Order: sequence, then C-alpha cells, then structure tokens
Amino acid sequence: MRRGTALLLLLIVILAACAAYIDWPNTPGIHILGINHDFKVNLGLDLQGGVRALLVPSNPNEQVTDETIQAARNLIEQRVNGGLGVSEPSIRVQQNGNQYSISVELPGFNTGNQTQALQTLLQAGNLEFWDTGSTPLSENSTFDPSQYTSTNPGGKPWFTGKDLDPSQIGVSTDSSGQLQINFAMKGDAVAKFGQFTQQHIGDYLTVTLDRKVIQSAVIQSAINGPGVITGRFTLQEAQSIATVLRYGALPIALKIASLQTVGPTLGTDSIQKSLIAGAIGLGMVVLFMLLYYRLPGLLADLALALYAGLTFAVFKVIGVTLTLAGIAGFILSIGMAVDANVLIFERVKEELRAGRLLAAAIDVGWKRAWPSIRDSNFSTIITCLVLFFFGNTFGATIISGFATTLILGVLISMFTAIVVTRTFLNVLVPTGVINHPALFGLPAGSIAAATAGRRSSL
Amino acid sequence: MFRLVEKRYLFLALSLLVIVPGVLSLIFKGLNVGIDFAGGSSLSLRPEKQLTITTVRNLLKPFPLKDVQVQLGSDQTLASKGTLWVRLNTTVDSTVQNAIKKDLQTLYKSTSLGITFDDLTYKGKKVTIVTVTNFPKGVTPKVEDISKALSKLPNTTDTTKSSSSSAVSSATPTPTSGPSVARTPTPTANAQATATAAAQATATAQAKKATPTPTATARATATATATATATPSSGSSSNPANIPVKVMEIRQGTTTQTINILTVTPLDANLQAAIESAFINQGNTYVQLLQTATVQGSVAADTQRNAVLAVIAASILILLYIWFSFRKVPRPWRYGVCAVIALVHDVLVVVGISSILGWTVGFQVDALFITALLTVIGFSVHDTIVVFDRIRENMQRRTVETFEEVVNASLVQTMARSLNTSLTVLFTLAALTLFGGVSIRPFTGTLLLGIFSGTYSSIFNASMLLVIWEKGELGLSWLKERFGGGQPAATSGRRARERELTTTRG
Repeated sequence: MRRGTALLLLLIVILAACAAYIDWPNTPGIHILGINHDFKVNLGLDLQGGVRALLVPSNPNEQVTDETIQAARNLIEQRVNGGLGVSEPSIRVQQNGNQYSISVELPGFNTGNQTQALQTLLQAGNLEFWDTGSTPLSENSTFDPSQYTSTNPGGKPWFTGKDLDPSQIGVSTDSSGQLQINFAMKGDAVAKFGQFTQQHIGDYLTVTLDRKVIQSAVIQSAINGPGVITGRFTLQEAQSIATVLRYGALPIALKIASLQTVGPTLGTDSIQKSLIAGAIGLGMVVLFMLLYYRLPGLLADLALALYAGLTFAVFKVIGVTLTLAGIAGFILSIGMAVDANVLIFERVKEELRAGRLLAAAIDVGWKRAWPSIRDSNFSTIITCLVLFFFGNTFGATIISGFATTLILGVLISMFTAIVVTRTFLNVLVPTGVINHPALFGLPAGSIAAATAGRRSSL
Repeated sequence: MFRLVEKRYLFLALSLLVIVPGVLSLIFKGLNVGIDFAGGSSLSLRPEKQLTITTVRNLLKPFPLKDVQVQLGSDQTLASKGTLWVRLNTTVDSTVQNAIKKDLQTLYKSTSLGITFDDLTYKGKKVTIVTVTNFPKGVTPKVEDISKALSKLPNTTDTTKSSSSSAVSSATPTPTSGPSVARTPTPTANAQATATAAAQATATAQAKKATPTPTATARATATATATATATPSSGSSSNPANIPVKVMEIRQGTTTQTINILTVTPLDANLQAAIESAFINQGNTYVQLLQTATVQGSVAADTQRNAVLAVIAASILILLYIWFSFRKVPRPWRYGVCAVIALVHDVLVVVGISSILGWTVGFQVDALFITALLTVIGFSVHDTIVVFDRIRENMQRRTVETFEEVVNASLVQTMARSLNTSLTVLFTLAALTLFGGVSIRPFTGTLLLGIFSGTYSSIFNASMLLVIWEKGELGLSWLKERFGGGQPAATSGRRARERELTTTRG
C-alpha cells in the first residue's frame, strides 16, 4: 500500500469515527477546551413542535404601518436564523382591523425555561452608549436619559447600534473567563468614538439595550479600535444579544402578548411513513448500485453511508433544523450523491472494455471523469453561493437555508465519491483479489491478462 | 447506434407541447398558492378539555376550509380552571345579557371579568353560550357559585322571531353530556346570519368581525357592544319578553391546551360560530376564542422576487463559468446559453404543470415549492454539463466527424450515466412520494417532475439546441438557403459537410 493511500485511509477512518460519535442518538457531546456542544438533533415545528409567541406593539404612541411590521418580521426572521438560514421558524404578520401582531413559531425552545433567551431574541434591540459622568449605574437598572442631559447633549445617546459594524460583532471570553460582546464602530463613528473616549477619560460609559443598563464602566483610555461590552450574561444571552446587534434594532417595540408551547403539526405516523419510504428509496439505490456496478458499487455504497453519516454530523454541529421536508431532501441528496461514482465507474468500465489493465483503467477513468464532475459540481456551488448571498442580503432565509444545506451536500458528496471510493479501490486493486471481470459486471476475459497484482508494489 | 440528433425537432416539439399549455395556464390562471404565500386566517381556541390532534382534524373536516394546519399548544398563563362556560336554554337579548353580567360582576366583585355571549348551535337549536374568563387574581371560580348567581334571570324577547313555540318547548333540561348530533352545522350558521339583529348584541359584534374590528380579541368587542346597546329592546311590539331564560349547564375548563388553526379560507363570523358549534356538538367540549386574525404569508413578501433575481444572477454566472470552462472549443458561450435555456425549460415545465394541476386537482404551492424549484435548477445544470463535457472531450478527439455526429456519440456515451443517476434519484423520490407522509407529497411530487424534466432537457434539448445553433438552422441564413432559391440542399451535401467541419473546428 502506498503511503498516501494509507494516510487517506486513516483520515477516512477517523472521519467516520467522528461522524459516528456525533451521530450517535445519545451522544454525550463535547465539553472540553471551552467547546460546549450537545450534538442534539434539532427537529422542526412539524416534527417536535416548539414555542409560539404572539408579539404585539408595546408602545401605543408608535405608528405601526404595514411596512414597519413587515420590516420587524423580516428582522426577527434573520435574528432567529442567525446567518445560515437553517432554523426553520414560521413567522407571520397578523392583522385584526388596524391592529398588527406577529406570530413567531420557533422549533425547540420547549425544553426547560428558555423564555429569557426568547425574550432577548425578540426585544427591540436599541443599543445606546451614554456618558453618565461620574455615576456608575447598576446592571439591569432602567436608564432614564432625562437625568443625564448635562453629559449627554439633548438627552440623546452618543452612539447607537446603528454605528456598529455588523461584521465585527461577536462573543468571546476574557482572560478571567467572563463572557463579553466584541464590537467595533463603522465609518465616521470610528473616529468619533476615539475622539469621544479620548475627551471623556474617567467618565462612566454606560451601555444600554432598550434602555436597560448592560454595562457601566470607566473609560480608561481612548478606544480607537474594537471594544468589548462586559456584562453578566449567560452564553446563550450573550449570543442572542450579539445576533440582535448584528441585524439591528426593530423599527417598532414589541412585547410578548402570549407564549405557548406547541406540539408537532404532523402526527408520528407521517414521520414513520416517510422514514420507511426513505429507507425503501435508499435500499433501492444501494441495491441498484450493487447489482449494476458490482464491487465498485459496493464500495460506492460504503462511501454513500459515509456521506450520510458525515452530512448528518455536520447538520448536527451547525444546528440545521430538520423538518420532514428537510429529511426528504437529505434522503434525496444521498440518491444524488451517487452521481460522481456513476460517472467514474462508467468511465472505468469503458476503459476496461477498451482493453486497459485494471489499475490503469481506474486511473484513466478517474482522470476522464474529473472534468465533468468538477464543472457540474462547480456550477452547483456557484448557484449555492449566489443563492446564499441573495438570501442573506435580502433576508430571505428560506433561500439561504437551502443554499447552506445544498453546498454542504455537494462538498461532502464530492469528497466521499472521489477521495473515499478512490482510496478503497486503491487499497483493493494491488492485492489482486478483485481482478475478476464479473466483479465489475463485465463479461469474462474483458480485463486484460496482465494482472495488476504482479505490478503492484505492496 | 441511436440517431438521436436526427429527431431533434421532435424532442423540442414534445417540450413545447408541455410548456406552452403550462405557460398559458400560468398567465391566465396563475399558481394556486397556499397559506405560506397568500396568507389567510388564524383562529386560536382554548378547549374545555384536552383534545387530540386527530379529534380536532376530524371536527374540522366537514368545513370548507382550504389548506388547514392544526397545531396544538399549551399556554401556561391560562389557568386551566379560569374559564367557565354557561349554556342557556335559548338565545337571549341584551337585557338578559346585562343581567348576567351584573350578577357575575357582583359575585366576583370585579368589573374586569371577561364575559362574552355567543349564539351557537346546540343539538340543532340556537342557544347563547356565555364564556366567563379573567377572574380576579387568586380566585378559583366554582360552578355552584355561578349556578346560584344566575338562578334568576329575566325573560328574553324572541331573538329569532320565528321559533317562539319551539323555544318554550325545549326548555326541559338536557343531559350534560348528550350524544353527539351528526349534523353539519353550516345551515344553522346561515340562519344566524339572516337573523335580525337589532336587539342582538352578539350577532352585531360578530357580523362586524367580518369587516375587521379594531381590537385584538373580537369577543371584547362583543362585550363592549352589548353595553353600548344596553337600552331595553324597543323592538316590535309583537315580540314581548316572554321566553324564560334558564341555565342549562355550566362547565369549567380542565386544561391549558390551545388549538391554533390556520387556513387560507377567510374565516367570517358564521364559519367561526359553526366551527365552535361543531366542537360543542361533535366534540362535546366548549371552546373559548383566544384570538382571530387575518394572517400574511410566512414567506416574506419579496422572497419570490428575490428568488427569481437570485436564479437570474446564478444563471449568468453559470453561463460565464461554462464559457470559461469550455474555452478550448469554438464558440464556448453557446454551451452556456444552451445550458441556461435547458434550465429555463425545467423551470417552465415545473411551474407550468403546477399551475395546471392547481386549478384542475387543487395542487397547492407552498414555501417548499421554492426549495423544490431551486433543487431542480441545480440538478438540471449539473446534468446538462455532464453531457456537454462529453461533447467537449469528443470534439478534441474525434476530429473527422461532423458536429452532429459528435453530439450524437456523446449523448449515447453519457446515456448510461444520465439514466443511472436519474434513476437512483427517481427511485428515492418515487418511494418518498408513494409511501411517505401526505404532507411532503407536494414537495416530492414537484421534485419528481422537475428531475424528470431535468434529465429530459439535458439529453434531448440542450444538446439538440447546440446542433441547431451550430448548423445555423435557427438563423435567417438557413431560411434563405432553404426557401430563398440558393443551392438545392441535396447537391451541396459534401460541400456543406466540409464547410461545417471547418466552422465547427474553428
């Protein structure tokens, strides 16, 4: 066995082991080195239910129009999805006369008390920076601008969430392990923030979110670059606040009028049915590959199993919410993942028929099949990137969610079909045990007599 | 060897045969869009006792509701015993309503009690159901207390005017949990609509709900209107207040369950009352109306437009990529254009047939339709490129054949791969469509159609278009040659072939 092949085989085995660990139904998760991941599978509203919150405008003086409520709805959808678009919420604007409300249904959130996290996610999200002179304010107290007009001209904050650069907002921990939210100003605000902090050294800079104090700290020196907000948050709260800040404040203030946990919309029978259907479909694919391509088909089936395991593991890690349709799509992607294998095997067969030696046929077949695998998958990846960009830019999370899962499927299937199947064949060919034509579904004598076994350098 | 390319016009005609009716249907009928796009109405109810989702679905079955989604929930803030239902023996006028309100407000020393009056059908007869909620904090209401407080009620005028005799005769108590009456409640709902409602506060309020009222909970309006029209009924003198009013039954809630119903069908007051009646009669449970509203789609309004723009942008990039990737063959951009045409073909086939199925068999387009369409687009381009790749390779190897022959050979060579890949996908989809749950059938069905079309277009359209273009059969020069009195086609055989070889090989 060549060195490269051995290394690849090792890599494949390790990957398979990792995937198996993550996919295991009662996996203990990973809780080391500051990484905390339970690897719980997120099921959609249709399969496991979630929470349903009814949001109503909380400030009667605010004018609510169709546009503002739509904008609020879209922002909430983006916050819930947090970028990848794979959280599968269902968010609807409702109307009764001229009274608007938003119904937000989120999968999950129904285990334990997650109301706090939900409230953070649904708050208006107006971040404001105030100079409170020599007065420190306690966290979570309500901020009243009218008391600090001397240090804040016109009772207006010095900076708001609009001055932040969305791409630089994140959560980290400081040296003592305390959670903090990183931020940086953008555009003109960078210089203004530096100037402001320069001129107000020694004052308390109080940061409020929806007029609730989250941090009040002395300005030690001029802040010319990124800054941090340290508060008392749980990890989930810090992440929610970061998400809220990234997408900006809602155009109107909303409050949760009612909150209910909701059950799945689909009965367990339909889940069962679809899983059985998926198993039948996949069984047919596996059988087809095995009967049509024989030994390579078997190897491709193994690669497919690895594809399914890896993809599911990645879904678990990045938190893709699986609805019934998502599962159907996943099963479908397994059917599609055989494509690269089929392309390669057809070429290998052609080369064998043309009288090449097995090892050479596999080599040449692979090389010939590569351009079409490359071009077809690249074009799909281009489509995914465009869709993801559009989905994210215009807040159409359903489109970005599709792009996320498809691009994962394409990349993983390319890996399993090309690297994994190839490695398997490379391991087997030099041993000489697979030189029988019937193993490739070819008539006897169609594999050239000079066996690869003799030529191999085991 | 199959001579596929020779039949190119037949294959294209077949595509047009599907696309043209589909596009016409799309123009004239549009798509039958479901609640995800179109929105509809939502109705939140709180039942008296726990129901299963199957029960609720069965209760809703007789109603003409399109695209119903039922979701059961639980709202812990609703105290399970905090709602009581009082069924009266008849429908009552505002005098009686005010008396009931006064009695209950005195009993619980609270003016903020939620008291609503609904005229629903109970065993075929229209009666008033009083729903009492929002008790003061810390108070657990008791059925006996309410029963005692409502023991003496004034007589009512005949609110229906036409059934005074039957109202009196049916004043005998009925068992609390009577057998369910198998009767579709719709006719009664119509009767309610035609009822003259001068002295009928509830009916007025409910009728108003058809044109939206400015409160979140419509029942609050019912109460408000009842107070507003509290003047003694000055109705016709032929309608004296002579029907005795009795409390037939009082029931107390036992659950915090909520039922959320979403449907495309607009829920007017009549339909809503009929649904509530069905819960009482067939489901043997009273329901409290928590919220009713019109809802907008769960797919953001501009998502469709964004999806179209994204696909156009992706198509342009794919065209450019193929142009680049095929730069070694002459006129590479034609490959890109043909791949994009095949893509448009698949989109039109899927959308067109969905439109036709929409008005023929009621096929509804939901949010997953976008996902399915995007999948089809990805698959279509993928498939086309595999065929084009083979043409590219053969163009470099087989230098003595005409373009037509090269394309034909490439098609035949890739046929096994095209069919095998499509077959594995179609197997999976067919299994999911046939044996999977009903809820994903539209999704997998759309995909099935799209993948089939994608395979067809990559084999029979994209490459054929390349040949047609390459031979200039679409252009004016071809028309001129054929009809404009140029050289007869037969004599120019060999020369045309040579000319073609020189042009295609650049």
